[in-house]
Amino acid sequence: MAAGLRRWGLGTQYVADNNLKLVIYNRLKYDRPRRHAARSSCRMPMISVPAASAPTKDLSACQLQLIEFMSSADSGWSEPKWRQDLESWRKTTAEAVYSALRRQKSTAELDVVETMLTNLAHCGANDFAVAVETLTVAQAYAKQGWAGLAAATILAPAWQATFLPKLKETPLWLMPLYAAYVFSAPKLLTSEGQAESYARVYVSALDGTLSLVEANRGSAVTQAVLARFRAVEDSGVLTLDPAVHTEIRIKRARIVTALNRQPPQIEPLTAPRSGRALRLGVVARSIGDTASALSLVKMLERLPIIRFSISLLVERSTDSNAERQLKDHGALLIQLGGEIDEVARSIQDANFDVAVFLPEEPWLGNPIAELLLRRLAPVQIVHDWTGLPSGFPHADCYIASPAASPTRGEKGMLVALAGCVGPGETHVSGGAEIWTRATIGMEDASCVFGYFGELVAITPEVVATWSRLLSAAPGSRLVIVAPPVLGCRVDRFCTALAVQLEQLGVASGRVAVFGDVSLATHEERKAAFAAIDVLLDATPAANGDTGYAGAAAGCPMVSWAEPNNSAAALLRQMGLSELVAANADDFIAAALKLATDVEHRKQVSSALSAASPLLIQYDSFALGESTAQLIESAYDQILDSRKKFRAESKLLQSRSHADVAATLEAVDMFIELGSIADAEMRLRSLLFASEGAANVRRRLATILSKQGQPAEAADLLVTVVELAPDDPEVWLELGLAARQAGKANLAVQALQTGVRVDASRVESWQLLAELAREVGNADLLEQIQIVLASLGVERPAAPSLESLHSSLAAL
Amino acid sequence: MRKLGLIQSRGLGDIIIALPIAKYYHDRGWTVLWPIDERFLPSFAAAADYVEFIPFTFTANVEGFLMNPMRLLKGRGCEKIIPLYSYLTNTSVADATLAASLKFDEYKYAIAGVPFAEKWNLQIRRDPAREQQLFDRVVRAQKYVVRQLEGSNCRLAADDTALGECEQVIDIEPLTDNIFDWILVLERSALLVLIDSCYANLVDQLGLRVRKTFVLRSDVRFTPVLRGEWRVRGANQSQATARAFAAHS
Repeated sequence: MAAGLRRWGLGTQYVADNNLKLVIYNRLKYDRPRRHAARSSCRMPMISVPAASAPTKDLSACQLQLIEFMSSADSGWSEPKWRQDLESWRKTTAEAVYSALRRQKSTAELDVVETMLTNLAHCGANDFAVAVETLTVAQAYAKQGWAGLAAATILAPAWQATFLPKLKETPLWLMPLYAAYVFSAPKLLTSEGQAESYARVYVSALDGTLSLVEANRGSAVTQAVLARFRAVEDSGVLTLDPAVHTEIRIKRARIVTALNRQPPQIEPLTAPRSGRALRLGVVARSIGDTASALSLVKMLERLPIIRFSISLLVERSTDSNAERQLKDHGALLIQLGGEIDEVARSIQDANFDVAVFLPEEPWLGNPIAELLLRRLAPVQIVHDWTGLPSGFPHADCYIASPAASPTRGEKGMLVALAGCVGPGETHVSGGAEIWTRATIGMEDASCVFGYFGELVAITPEVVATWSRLLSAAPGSRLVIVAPPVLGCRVDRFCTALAVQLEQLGVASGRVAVFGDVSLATHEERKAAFAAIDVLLDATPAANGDTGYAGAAAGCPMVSWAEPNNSAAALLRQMGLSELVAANADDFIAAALKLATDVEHRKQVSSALSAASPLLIQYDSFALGESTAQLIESAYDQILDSRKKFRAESKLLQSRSHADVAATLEAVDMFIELGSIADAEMRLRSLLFASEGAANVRRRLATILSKQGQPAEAADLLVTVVELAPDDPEVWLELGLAARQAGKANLAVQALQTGVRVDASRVESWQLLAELAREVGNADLLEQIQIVLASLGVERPAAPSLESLHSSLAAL
Repeated sequence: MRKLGLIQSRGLGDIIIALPIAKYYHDRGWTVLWPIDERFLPSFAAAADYVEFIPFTFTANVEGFLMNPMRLLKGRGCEKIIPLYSYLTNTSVADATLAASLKFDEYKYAIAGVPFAEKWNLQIRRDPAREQQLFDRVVRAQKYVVRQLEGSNCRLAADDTALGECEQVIDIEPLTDNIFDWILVLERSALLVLIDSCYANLVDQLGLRVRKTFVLRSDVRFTPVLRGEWRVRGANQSQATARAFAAHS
């Protein structure tokens, strides 16, 4: 196995028989069809709450005992005995809490109870359902007044105890404690329906919090509840269902808005776009190498400089790759400091046409979110890689994936820029891992299924589907590659997964989990995808950029027909709708066909590979033009009428010029008229058309070279050689542009490749000779002179850049 | 002969302003070709025989303003093509440096490389019969005022309360398909009150010696340079006609 790859074991070391039974038991009780039956049975055998006079344990003793549980959680979390002991502890402690709070509701006692709730969540006790009997006891306690409710919180996790009252129904003295309870998200999903159940509890708690904030945002209890809310604001469990996630974001934005009430905003000055570059300000605390920032960089780094001037308005400079990339593209870095009002005024005074906000969660107490509550520019865009509406009143539009369905928010949040999310080759990180079948221990597999994404998206429902697939494809195996994510422990995930796999009759050895793996560069991703045969999507979470990365690597995949699933949209776009499954049966059938029919797999892979150079997400030039058009269109429409713009329910879509030939004719005319800027603009409008892509890019590269932008021209020609690798002329053009841009290595590589394709091309040899002379490579120069002599060129002269330019212009 | 193409497909005033450019080149041995909105052809075909006008169906977009004329001129083998627009939406075809500093009429001459003084060397072939016919049709008094209150993008309120000694007010209306038919009426009037339009350009470039008021309507860059003795009024100064009478009397 390659150094650096950490494989987490699955199987018996984490799982014991009794543990397995516990999970099966819980599954029976909480499987969707049986849930009602389980609840009904809970109501019947009511267990009486112990009398207050009965001897109870001291709360501090309970706390000490919990700390012991926590210290043994790593080794015992999966052990049945550990869980049984924990359930006993829950009951004893609930009794102690009930007695203590009936006697006295002091802050000290409430603090102790809250600490115990926090510790319970921290040690993973809330990830598993408690026994029905324990749940019944909790229900009984809940009927014994507020002290009983506090006791019930110890007995069962919030996602399971759905019979408990809402946050806003509790008395003020209990609210902070209860908020800590309801805002305590499971870190790992072990039961079907668990995520949905917790989401309902969470949304209800958000409503309660919003009521508090709107009633009295400065009160102690409001602040206390907000502190508990803040602790779980970015829980991954809440992001699994796009509809619920949207609802949560809108409510959260309302909380932030209510907390930071702003006076009516003055409309900023506006000016028509014609004839000038739009001034775009990126508002962020910093531009770090986060996935969100990198995906934004990818959209902005190729915005045409004649149409946009970019400023980065940040609290601090990070000198990250993302920041450097934007600065290299001419973005101006402006550091802003001081109070939020002062920062807002500075941005307003700078008169930006468009402000793009990069909030980064959590949003509560986030100064960028507070800035987003104001009107800083005529057009305000939120970049958030979920592609869901932010819910903020002054966000005019948000970035969505091309597949996004507009989600109705509040006060007209319907318009989305249907741009693209997902970091691609712009990612830069350390050395690539070696991913092969051997290094991941799967050389003997008949077919390797792969999942690349967050562990939290692998719900028990997903595991059930995957298990059916593995059972149907003998000899196949599954590799799960997860990025580093806080809050979800890979070892515990593996344990829970092993339990479920065994329960479903799949040997746990058929699945390998690689946790905390960062596949940041395009090369790393390609290597990883090359080691697997079929990429599987999880549901209901959208697969995000993984689908695009897989497609770019030519990796066949099966996805789900979820509204926001960009991988599904991509497959449909490529005419591979049969790989988008509407249900588990379709999913298994499609994946099985790919696994067993090698010819079919090859065809799908070829189709994906053929399209991948033009995948907009992996083509920063096309993405840049698409983004430019979307922003310009949004700007024009908002200047016309913001009200109308926000009421629009259709996504803003960028469109390539339909008539490529007519556009190219116009390009010729503009060049003849000397209006190079117009010619460039029209060529750029063809960047995301597949027809004549190589020709369009070559012509654009020629224009860019002439306009003194050889670096961009060289980057563009790199995409052309992917499309036309056998054309020696293109390699020569790349060599020339790279040389002009000062990229000597790239120039040499391009020219050497070009002469391999066509050894008779004198200009390539001449330019290569010139480069060899420049870098003082006498051996290479001598060899080239021999070749040139054989081609009949007596005195190898340096090629004239002018003549080469002329030949390029004649394209 | 060498062929020169001019691109200024519409705007009667713009075309009148640019006619001397065509004449300048014509006098230097060029054949001047000029695609124009087909609706303008009746006005210009006979009046400026030193230009080979090419009528085409105009559309109000880049195609109509630029691309179609370009195609027509290229198709006729023009050696040199000069777009005369100082500003065209969604293109940067204009020379940014010249456009930033010059008024639109100055720009046309500068980009064409023609001395600006040529603007007032407007040469048109008048049609006395048609002019007389229109004169006889509209003029009913010895002393009359000609006014034009409606431009292509604005309209001023008429006010006849201060006609003074004038016996008739003639509003310019589309009574013929040729704007040059109005010349006789214009040059014999006691007073002209003209909004910034093709008629004002025509009067100024022909150097008609009449008392006249020029009513502004555009930004400074799009208001022509005037050489005649005009009184100038703002478009927002209502009662323009009354004020003009008061000023001249």
